[in-house]
Amino acid sequence: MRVAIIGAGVIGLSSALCVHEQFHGLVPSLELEVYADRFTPHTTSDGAAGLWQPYLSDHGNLQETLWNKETFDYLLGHMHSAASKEMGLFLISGYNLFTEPVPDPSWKNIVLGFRNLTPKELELFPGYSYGWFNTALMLEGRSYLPWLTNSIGILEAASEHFWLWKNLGFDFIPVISNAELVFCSDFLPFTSQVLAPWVKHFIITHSLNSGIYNSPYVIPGSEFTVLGGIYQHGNWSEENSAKDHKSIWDSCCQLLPALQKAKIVGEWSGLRPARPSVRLERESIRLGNLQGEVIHNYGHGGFGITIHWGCAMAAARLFGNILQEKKQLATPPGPRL
Amino acid sequence: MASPKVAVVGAGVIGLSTALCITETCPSCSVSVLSDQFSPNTTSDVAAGMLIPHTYPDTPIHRQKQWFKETFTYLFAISNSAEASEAGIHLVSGWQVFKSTPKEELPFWSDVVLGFRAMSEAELLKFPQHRFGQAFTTLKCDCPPYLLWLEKRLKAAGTQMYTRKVADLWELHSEYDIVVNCTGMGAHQLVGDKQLFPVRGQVLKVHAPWVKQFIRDGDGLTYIYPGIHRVTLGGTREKGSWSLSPDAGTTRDIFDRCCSLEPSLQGAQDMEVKVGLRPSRQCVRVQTEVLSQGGVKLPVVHNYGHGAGGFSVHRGTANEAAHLVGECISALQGSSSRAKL
Repeated sequence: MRVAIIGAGVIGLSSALCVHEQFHGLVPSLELEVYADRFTPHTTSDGAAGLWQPYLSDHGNLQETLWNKETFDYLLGHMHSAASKEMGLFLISGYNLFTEPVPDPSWKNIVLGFRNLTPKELELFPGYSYGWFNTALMLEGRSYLPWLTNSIGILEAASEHFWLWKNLGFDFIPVISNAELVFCSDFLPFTSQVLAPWVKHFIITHSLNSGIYNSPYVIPGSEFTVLGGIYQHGNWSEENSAKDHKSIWDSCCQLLPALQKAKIVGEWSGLRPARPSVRLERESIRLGNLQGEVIHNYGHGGFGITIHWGCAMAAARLFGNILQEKKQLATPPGPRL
Repeated sequence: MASPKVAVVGAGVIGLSTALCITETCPSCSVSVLSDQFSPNTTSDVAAGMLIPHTYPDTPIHRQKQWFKETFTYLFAISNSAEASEAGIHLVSGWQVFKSTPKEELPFWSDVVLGFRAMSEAELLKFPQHRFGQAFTTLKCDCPPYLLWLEKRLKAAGTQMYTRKVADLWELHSEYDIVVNCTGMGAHQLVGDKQLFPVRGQVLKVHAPWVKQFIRDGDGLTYIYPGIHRVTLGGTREKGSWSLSPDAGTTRDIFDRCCSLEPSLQGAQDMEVKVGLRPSRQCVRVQTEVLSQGGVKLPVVHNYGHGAGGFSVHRGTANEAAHLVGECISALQGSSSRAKL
């Protein structure tokens, strides 16, 4: 049985791993093939800083909060093993800063040690009068995507365009996770990559007028520190703008004066595949004589890494449902892993 | 006395910070630093430089707390300035974990560090052998950067540095008006202080840049302290051992203990092994002593015996020592004007 996964970012590869883990023992003929126009290190997931943190509010979308929790717990479970370094996974603490009090987020009990900032801590951040401290996780795409790939030894092939599925003669179950299927307008984020190894905390400021990630942030990774905070609406261009880089630089230096001495080693911009909510559902597609079952798993915006494993497991459950319907499984799949 | 000549003996964190305080409180002083070793070869260079106080049994707690608070406040301001990276000062958060609940759940310094609280059950799950823990944010002074930054500030203030082995404090009496003894373990020999004893510490410094949090076992023996470029893994507390040679068995033991707290350290690279002798004492000696021979007096201000807590209290004891130097200067000026009458 041939299954195509379209998209090789964190969503595509983790969906592949989850399907593989749950079903390769039950369906001996299962062959997973990943198709994408970009593979690591050129995907959106590679450019993301990799901090596990959902948006401030889940807008009542409890399903997404549950997927976030499943992801965090899954990753935290890997922290006891030496594999965490290879996965690009590590603990990190840090600050979320506001100019006025805000309600606690949906994820306050998912992360570790969530608390409000003390007055003394707020002295570090003039202009901000309220904030949170918590310990979360970093999952760096540049390490995680290769680790996912190695974990299942999946076949890879490049494709020019996502419409190829109709030409491939697949059995019936492509799993789609490609950002380019999103037709909602998106934001164009810019980030600078600097050497600032003395920074050990993430710092994310919030300007409630400007919206998420449109305010300076500093996220220290294992090789460099990401500075960001520009978020332009509805721009599909991936060209970097010098003016935007200077503006990130200035606002981050105001936040952390020592950054003035940091050396810039790179820059990146990418499209976060934004959507009002994640699309994770089945669709039957018919094109002429060809019929296919599609599992959509896209639209994870700026929280793909944060939510990926919960979504992968949900996609795997949908896969299991399809197999059962097609009587590929004698018994229903066991409890989700 | 127009320009009192002050010799500070010792160029570790205590000597350099004391010299700097003297230049600040007594701008008319001519300050020199004399030491047989400078960074990167001092005991301070081996230490991780974490601001987590050591409790001295015979120093009153309020005094220790005052020293720590002054030090924390001073470094906090630097960490928040443009000089932070050059000075090697940065904030770091983490956990102190205990296999059994300590008698004192709230140490005297809990309200000086940032965000001090007990660890949650969820956090303790990561440490199955430990039953209790504390989470907080504190400061770290990376060496050599911090010592080099102090040296730079001293040179800008006109302080002279001399590589010189001082065998006897009295040998300085003809060149200097006041001597400040910041010789750490050297005071055992130099002033014959038998209350001073070494506590040998071996540490590993590794490249593990994904480690952003500190973890310390409350027993003080096992710790993981992420610095700017390297993570310090420790350690040992061998009372009375004078050996400065790294021990291979100890290296393996430290590495194993740290990996059990943080398994990802298995992937650490480029290990360096270092040894330092903590200059330990029941109480830190910050005190004036006037040496005299044949009618000639030499005021000495002692500032040594900081043991495992040198970085945590350095600025506080430097302030106190500088204050004592000021008193010595007043006394000398008083007696010299009496001599004129």
